[in-house]
Amino acid sequence: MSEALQGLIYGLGVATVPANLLAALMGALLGTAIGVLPGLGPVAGVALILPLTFTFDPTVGLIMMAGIYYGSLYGGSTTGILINIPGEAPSIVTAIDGHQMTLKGRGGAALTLTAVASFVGGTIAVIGVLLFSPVLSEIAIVFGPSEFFALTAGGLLVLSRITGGSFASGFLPMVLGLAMSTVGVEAVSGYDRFTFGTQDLLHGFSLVPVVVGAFGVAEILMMVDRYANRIRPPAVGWRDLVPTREEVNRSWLPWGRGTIIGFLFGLLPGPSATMSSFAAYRLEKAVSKNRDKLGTGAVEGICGPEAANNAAATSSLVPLLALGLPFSTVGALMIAAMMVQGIQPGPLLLIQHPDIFWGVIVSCYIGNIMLLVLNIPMVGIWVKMLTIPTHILISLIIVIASIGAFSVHNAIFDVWVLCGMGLVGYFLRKMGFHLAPLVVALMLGPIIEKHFREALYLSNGDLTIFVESAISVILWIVVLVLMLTVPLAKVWQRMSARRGTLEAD
Amino acid sequence: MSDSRDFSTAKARIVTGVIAFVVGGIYLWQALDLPVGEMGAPGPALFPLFIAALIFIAAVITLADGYAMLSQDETFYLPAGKPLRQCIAVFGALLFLAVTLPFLGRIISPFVTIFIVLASLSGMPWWKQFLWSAGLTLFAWLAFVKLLGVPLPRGILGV
Repeated sequence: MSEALQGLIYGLGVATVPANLLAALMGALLGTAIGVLPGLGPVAGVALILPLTFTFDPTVGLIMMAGIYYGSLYGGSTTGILINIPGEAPSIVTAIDGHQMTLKGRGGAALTLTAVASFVGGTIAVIGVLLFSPVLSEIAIVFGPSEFFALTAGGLLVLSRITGGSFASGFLPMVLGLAMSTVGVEAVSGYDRFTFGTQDLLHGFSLVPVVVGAFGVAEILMMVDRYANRIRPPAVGWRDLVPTREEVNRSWLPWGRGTIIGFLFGLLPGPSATMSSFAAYRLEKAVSKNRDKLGTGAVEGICGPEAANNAAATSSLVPLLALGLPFSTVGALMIAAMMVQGIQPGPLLLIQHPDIFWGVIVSCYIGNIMLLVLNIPMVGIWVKMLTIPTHILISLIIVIASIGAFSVHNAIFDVWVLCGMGLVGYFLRKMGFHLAPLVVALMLGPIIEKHFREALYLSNGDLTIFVESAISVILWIVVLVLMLTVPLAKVWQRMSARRGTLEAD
Repeated sequence: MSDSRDFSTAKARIVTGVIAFVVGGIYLWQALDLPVGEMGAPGPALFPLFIAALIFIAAVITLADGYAMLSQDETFYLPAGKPLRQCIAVFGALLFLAVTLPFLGRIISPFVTIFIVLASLSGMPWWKQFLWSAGLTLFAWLAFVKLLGVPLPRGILGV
């Protein structure tokens, strides 16, 4: 507890340095704009910022990236509430009741309650991160290669399984990402692998062109093929932004419930912000006093999910900072930002770079305050941004994406990778495959290989090392349970449905 | 002409499974050229060999997934007609930028790219497209070259 308190004070000192405050402000504003505008989601937005952060101090870069992430979650719900087009996946649930509130003339109040929900979720999650991360870091210091192998390989498997759809929908992209991660000069022996004799492939596939291509370019192509109908957002005045006393009173419990759910989901591998917002909505449907009104414009339907997705975005920093493991696409990008600057992510980050560890955590809290203070008065500006013609956005995004990809190594090859991944991402998404496992596997691949080979060296090739320690066994059991939960639940549902049909007959 | 064409998700997954097999074959063929080492001192081929096996497993699972879906009517759409032409134009503009950036440079290449996108999507008169292209190119140049110092190529004309 005292360590967390000392960390909080130290982090406050780091986060309130003018450069870091500016980074949090820029991140929050840029993120909100990215969330509001169609075409660039949080992932592609953070990926585009990544090469630019190489010129900054690492703490500044990471604070800005985190700000973009949670800012975009807030911005995504603005479009969902006003025009029923959620900017990001986690905002889909918010749009259900939020847009119904807009139709009833309560859109402004919905925006205010959403901003407060994001603030509550983010703030309480920061406290959880402060308490939880140092403890996990201390535990992780005793981890050996086999435990890290179980954590990384198992976490990746779980991610591929719980991103949704059939097993193949996540597993095939994950394997593709792992294969891509082996391209280039191998770290231990210096062998060229899968380069086909080309210089360009020697440094392997960089994360930025892959992510911006698979998420940004693919999204642009999706936008073009459904380009026909654009909806004008309604005007929102100052007075509309004030919620009624009843609306505020009904929001307290959903804020609390959503925060707890979001924090827990953020600790797990997977698209935690999206999953937690759906789970929070389901919880409101089950326990809320006004559950019958959900779907018709109930504040519970926006407050629970919004608190949840912001809490999840914040608590996903726990595995990232304490273990150095990215279990989300944005996490993978943040790890990449650290590694490029020569910072080794992992349990020792707390000891070697406390400024990054505590500074980033506390800046999340400051960023959330900035979002609350700035975004409610700026709602009118965000709404106006929705009127920017799509063709202007698309042309600008294409140029920015290409320059962003180029700037990683100042190599035109990365622009070609961007084009290729854009096409691959477009078709895979059309066919219902999920791209997050591909990106996380590309990032985790070298880490998994490192721990795999280290474990084999240590055990002189004895494969039982992977299940020798109690921690490894527990981790693999958790992976097995999580992997089997979805198919078993489906079998259970099918059996229940069949039983119901038989009884009805 | 319709704006889209529906395709069977099941058949698309079967084709994807077959492509995954081919990719797995090429990957395995390349991995076998690397030293495997021993289990106690693994070489650079060992991990890729595991991944090759995973690619084949993923291919089988994707094929099985596709065959299991054949009985369902699930489809996805791809653009046709005008939206298809627009998609090709936008992607073509991106390819144009990738091809021409090294020799047309940081001003002309983005300008033409933006012009192609606006011409295919906007329906503006040509002079408006020209002005917008110039303005957006200037914005990109100021932001990336001047402010952030990205060393974009100058091209054969030196701009």
